[in-house]
Amino acid sequence: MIRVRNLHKYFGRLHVLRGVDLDVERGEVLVIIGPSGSGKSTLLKCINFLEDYQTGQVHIDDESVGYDFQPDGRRRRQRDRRISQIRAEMGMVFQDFNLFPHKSVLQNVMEGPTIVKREPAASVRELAVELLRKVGLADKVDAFPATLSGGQQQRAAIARALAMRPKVMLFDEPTSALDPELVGEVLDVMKALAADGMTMVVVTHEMGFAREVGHQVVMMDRGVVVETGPPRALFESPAQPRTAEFLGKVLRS
Amino acid sequence: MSYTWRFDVVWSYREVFLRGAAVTAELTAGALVIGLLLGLALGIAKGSRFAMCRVPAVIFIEFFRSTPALVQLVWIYYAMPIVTGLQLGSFVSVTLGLGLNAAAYFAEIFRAGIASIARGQMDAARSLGMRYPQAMRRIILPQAIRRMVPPFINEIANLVKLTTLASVLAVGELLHEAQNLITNTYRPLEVYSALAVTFAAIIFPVLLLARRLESVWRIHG
Repeated sequence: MIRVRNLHKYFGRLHVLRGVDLDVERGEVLVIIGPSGSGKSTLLKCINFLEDYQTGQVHIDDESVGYDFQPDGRRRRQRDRRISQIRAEMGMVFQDFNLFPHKSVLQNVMEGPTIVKREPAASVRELAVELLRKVGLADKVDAFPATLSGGQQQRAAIARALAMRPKVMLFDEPTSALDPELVGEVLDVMKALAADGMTMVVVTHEMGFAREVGHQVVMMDRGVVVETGPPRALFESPAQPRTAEFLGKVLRS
Repeated sequence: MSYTWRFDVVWSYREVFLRGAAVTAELTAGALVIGLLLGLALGIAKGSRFAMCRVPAVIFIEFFRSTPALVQLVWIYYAMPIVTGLQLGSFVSVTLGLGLNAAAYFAEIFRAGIASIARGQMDAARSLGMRYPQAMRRIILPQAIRRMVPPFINEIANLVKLTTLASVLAVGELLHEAQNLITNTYRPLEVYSALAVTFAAIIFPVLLLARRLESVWRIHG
């Protein structure tokens, strides 16, 4: 469903992605782990083109993301309208939640379908209330983000992304900004989502989640994929010394 | 040394102040409209990733911020007809000149306000599939404008006072009317004092409104 090939990304002279390949199948939960600065978040943002990239290709359902490639191999940036349409099919959840602070929780969740898809407000409201109930925020519909805990904000952000009925959900370290006692409630929502068959790409430091929910785990370091495998194999008998070293450090703590 | 204050003389000419105040308000309003619209465009252009948008905006802004407003008005009223053959009336010249000048300052406020809204808000809006103008209008600007209100009010207060420059082009705003009054009454101290009070009467409600808005927005996050 998602296919990334030989992806290279520079920030100025900094080479953050150095030839990444990645495949995500429909219904699969793919977890990306690795040390800070290894390019995990950047990779995620290249998938929905919040970051552009210099070489390589990203496809979702055989559709190129961000650029059109001509027969002579040259590429042209897609029009904003096209890029926005592709993005609308992917939900994204951010480390810092990024809820819209000037809108209520309900308005946050309704924003995408009403503005982008121009769906009628009445049916969107029904959907939004249902999603907020699913993430356990039925009583916070009219609250403003600033009055919510971090865990509640992140669950609202998940509902906001789901309201677009995305084909895939991208999670960029969704629990890293949370107090430890609030991590569980967000992970529970994500587990329920995975159980419903949602295709998910999750960048996280939560090894328990990776092991329990992940179908595939990708270990990244310094802009490349070091190793890919099912969680049991990768955690218990990593093939690469770099993976073993990293796991040794994070699992000990 | 004794000086007899004769504010009663000024009071008997109060209509002159009302007339001047009306012109001052019109000049301010006109310049404000030009300044806000052009300033928004310039502010967005200055934050653009395209040099083609950014460079002209920067040149405009820095030019108008680094030359005296008085000279800008003289250019538009006296020099532009010589160079281009286009002669604007004095009222229009002042409105346009102050509008362009205000735009340069407003642009900086818009740019800083937009930049202060974290990149994450734009990312979130874009990730929902919003196009750039939608994200600007619905997500970024509503938040940015709240942060812009205090510096905006400063600029508006400055703008009201800048309209006194119109007296140089013989536009009948407050200062010009006051100066005429002085030549009739020989009461400069009283007239200038009354002038200050009149300006305060115009500007103070604006400051009050700003404080009001800030406290309302503080409640609604």
